[in-house]
Amino acid sequence: MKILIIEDSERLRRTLAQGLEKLGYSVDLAADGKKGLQMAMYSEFNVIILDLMLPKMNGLTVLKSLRRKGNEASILILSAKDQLNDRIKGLELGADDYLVKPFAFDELCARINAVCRRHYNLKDPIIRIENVKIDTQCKQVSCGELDITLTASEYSLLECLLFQRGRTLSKNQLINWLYDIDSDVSSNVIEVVIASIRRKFKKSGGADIITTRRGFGYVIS
Amino acid sequence: MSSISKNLITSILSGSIVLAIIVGIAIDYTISAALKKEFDQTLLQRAGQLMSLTKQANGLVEFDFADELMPEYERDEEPEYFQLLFSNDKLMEKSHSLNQLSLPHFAPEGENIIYSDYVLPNGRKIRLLHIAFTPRTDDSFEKPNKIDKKQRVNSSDPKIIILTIGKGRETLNELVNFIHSTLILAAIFFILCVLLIIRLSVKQSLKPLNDLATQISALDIQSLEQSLIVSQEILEINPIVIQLNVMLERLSRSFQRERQFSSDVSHELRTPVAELRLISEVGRLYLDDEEVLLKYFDDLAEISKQMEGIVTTLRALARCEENVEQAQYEILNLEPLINKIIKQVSRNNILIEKNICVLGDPWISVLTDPVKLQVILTNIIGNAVSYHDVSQKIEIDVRRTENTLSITITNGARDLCNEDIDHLFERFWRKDVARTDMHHSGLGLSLVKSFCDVLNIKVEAQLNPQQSFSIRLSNIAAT
Repeated sequence: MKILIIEDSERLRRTLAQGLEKLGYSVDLAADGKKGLQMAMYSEFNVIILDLMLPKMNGLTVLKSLRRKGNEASILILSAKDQLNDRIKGLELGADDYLVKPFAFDELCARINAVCRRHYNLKDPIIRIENVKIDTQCKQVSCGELDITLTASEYSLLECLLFQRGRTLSKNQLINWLYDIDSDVSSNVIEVVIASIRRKFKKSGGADIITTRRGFGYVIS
Repeated sequence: MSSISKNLITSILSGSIVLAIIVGIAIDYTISAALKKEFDQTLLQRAGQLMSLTKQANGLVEFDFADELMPEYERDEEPEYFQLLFSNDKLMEKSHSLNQLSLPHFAPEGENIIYSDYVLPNGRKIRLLHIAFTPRTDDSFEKPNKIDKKQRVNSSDPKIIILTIGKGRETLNELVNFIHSTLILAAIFFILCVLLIIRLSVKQSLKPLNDLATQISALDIQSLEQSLIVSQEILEINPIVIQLNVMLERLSRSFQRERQFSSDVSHELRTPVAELRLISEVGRLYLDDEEVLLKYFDDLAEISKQMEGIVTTLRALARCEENVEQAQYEILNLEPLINKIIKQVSRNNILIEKNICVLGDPWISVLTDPVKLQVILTNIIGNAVSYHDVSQKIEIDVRRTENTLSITITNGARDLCNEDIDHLFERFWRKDVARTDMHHSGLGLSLVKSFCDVLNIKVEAQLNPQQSFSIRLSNIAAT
């Protein structure tokens, strides 16, 4: 899942990115509103974590501009402003969620997953396809009684295909989902990750739920 | 508890009662006196009649009285009385109404008339008139058969007759009593009317006060911005309303400042607290990555230092506000202090250091609190370094004027505008509304102002033409 963090506190921005990356998210960073808006417009993100008090352009203006230009990314406001009016204003302008600083990292992750599920119309965090069970809340995959241990990139790719179930995603789209803007990776990396997932599924007796569409990409039906 | 309404009613009513009693007594006295005078006049007329019936000639006195012409002295019901005595107290004549009784008598001197009240043995209250007179001389007195009653008294000197006339006081007393009762009733009615009028007028007069009380009782912290309004302007209440509105405005501003202060403190601490919490939670994911963890430790140290700075400054500000921050005066050589601060704020950056020039008389010694003056200058010069326009030099100008010294720190400040100058010394005010810079909290100049107040130093901020900004410290005692 690709996340953009627009936050002016360098320490918060950096630590947040490190935490989310550790959990398999692909994270891009912007230190001010103007840069954040540019990045959000020129690259596709699943979730944007947006601070309100930002230099150069405040968070609400960024939010308004994004929604006006049709950006459909899930936006989660992360702000020190805790007044009811601020929360109402943020949500009314098109934010999907509002979290007040200080916050628990686990709660932030749960909210990121929740807004993402809402975005892809997935009400149940546990998805079952054939004999494979994927818990999107705990980020665990299992086949029957056996847990399938996936790396962060493997799980993220599987999650991407699950969230957009029935839709064929190209290698580029998957790279965008998995890696941040500055990452320089070849399209082969996707093939490697897919192969690894299939191998782990097969080893645990799980069905091969990922279908390859030659020349188009990959899909979970 | 004292009450304006009760005090007004009590005092006006007491005054009215006293007035009503005085007026009533005066009216009663006047009318009673007039009635009594009229009664006495009647007695005098009666006396005149009787005196005209008394004649004398040749040492003889004759009283020529006809019962049928004066039945009031004969009747059984409420009769009148008379009694004629010679000057030697010998009875000459008395009315039949007296029967065996006799009236008390006085012998007035000359032509004086004496009136007195008397109670007859049968309990009847009568009023008496006593008069001494000399009967007129009449020669026709020799024809005794033509008159009903006559007295012939042989006396060598019988000329003075004492006449006492009595008349029942029933009518007079009834009239006086009626007047008393009427006056008492009138007084009670008057007092009741006065009470009613006072109550109504006091209630009406105090209505604006009650309205004001209702408005004040409806006030709460959220409605302090509302002004108190009285429906009609009243000379006595208007100054109170004006002063109350001024006080409400001050309270509202204070609450607004407090709210803003709480919000600013909360915001200023929320971000570092969020950072602390996030670092502690994310750090657990990197337990095997020493490099990341070391960086986190640095972050934690920096955050702690930053929060400590905020708390220390807030504590110093609170101490200044509570007037417990005392100045410890010492003689201080200014130049080493300024040089030390320049090195400290430029963090050994030669370029920054070279950009700061000290003008005037920095070698002068001053009598001040060295710690506080260092805090003041560090904050001002530190701000100048942080926010200055690199194309302009930072100037520290020290000037002596007689016994005092002024220090002016000037730097270029493109972003500042005149409106900002009014807010510079407010707590947590920062030009950057995003409050991104973690090395500043917006408390430095507030502390400068508070410490200057403690040291009795005048501090002024000014935005000069060519967008240069200066802070001037004056009234520093030079030695």
